[in-house]
Amino acid sequence: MNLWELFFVFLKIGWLTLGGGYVMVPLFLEEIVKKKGWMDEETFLQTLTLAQLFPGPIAFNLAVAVGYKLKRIKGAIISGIAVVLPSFISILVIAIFFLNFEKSKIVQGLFYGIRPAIASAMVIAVLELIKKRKWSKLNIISFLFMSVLLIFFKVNPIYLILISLGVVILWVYMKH
Amino acid sequence: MGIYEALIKVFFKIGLFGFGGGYAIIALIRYLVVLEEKWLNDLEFIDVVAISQVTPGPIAINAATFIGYKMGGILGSLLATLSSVLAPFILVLFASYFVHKINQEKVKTYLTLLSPLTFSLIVAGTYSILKSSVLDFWGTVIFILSFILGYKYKWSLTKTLLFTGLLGEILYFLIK
Repeated sequence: MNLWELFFVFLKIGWLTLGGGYVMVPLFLEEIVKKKGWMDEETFLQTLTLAQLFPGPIAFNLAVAVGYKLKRIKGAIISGIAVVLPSFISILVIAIFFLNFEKSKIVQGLFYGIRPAIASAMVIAVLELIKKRKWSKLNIISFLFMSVLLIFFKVNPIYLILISLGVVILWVYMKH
Repeated sequence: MGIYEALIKVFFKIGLFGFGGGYAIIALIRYLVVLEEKWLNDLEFIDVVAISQVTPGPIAINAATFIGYKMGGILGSLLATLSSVLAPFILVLFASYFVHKINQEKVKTYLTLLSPLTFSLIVAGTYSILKSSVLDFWGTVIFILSFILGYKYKWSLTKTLLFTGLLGEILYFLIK
């Protein structure tokens, strides 16, 4: 495998990750492990775990981690660029178009219909998460507390993220 | 501070604190971009989220490209996009170099303990989108309709958005 091959595989994955999130993990598995055989599944899962530890979009983190495993720094840079390039180009084209026609009736009408559907998609995501989770009382209380701070007191999310991270990392180290 | 420096600073922060992925990042982006910098209003912000859902790539990167272009043209777009992935890139690279064996149990505890935070971020993001997208009678109708289509009939988001977008065009044409 050379760097060009790496570039094109991640370019392809970048094109196919609509909306982002964990839905694209099977796509990586398919391309990297099954089709190309660049990694065994165990190594892939280890790499995925590492990518999940850090902030940032999972598709990007995973691309960088896989790129590094295969071709060190060069691989990480090439994979990172390749996986972002498709979304960069498509959003740039849309932004140029959208900002020119933002005030037109056609675009206004389209987004008048789309906006409430985005809200409902998020409400559905919340409901699905509630159904899936079995939470302890402590988890529920901390969730409610943080939600109230975010929604009603407009607290900067960065503070909550920093405090949560601190507490969680400390907890993990004391327990293990 | 010039617009380029501001874009770099804000999107670097979004990358650095972007935990949880997907919908969880919306509250953070909105706080920094809508409430603090006022680069977009709430309606424009939902439009960016909507565009992000039907194009390749994660919301954080899509928002960086779009808002970067709006505020600083092509160069702004490029700088914002690169800044949004800089922190994850460095962190993943660093960890790939130093970490060789990952304790899966520790990671599982870490991710489980972080879930109240990510869930509260998702709920806060959902609340803000809901509040500014369901504004009038027809908005409410579209919200309920798309909720039923997505939750009960399991329509994909793309399909729902095509449908409600068309509905929006018709309504806009008739009532505005």
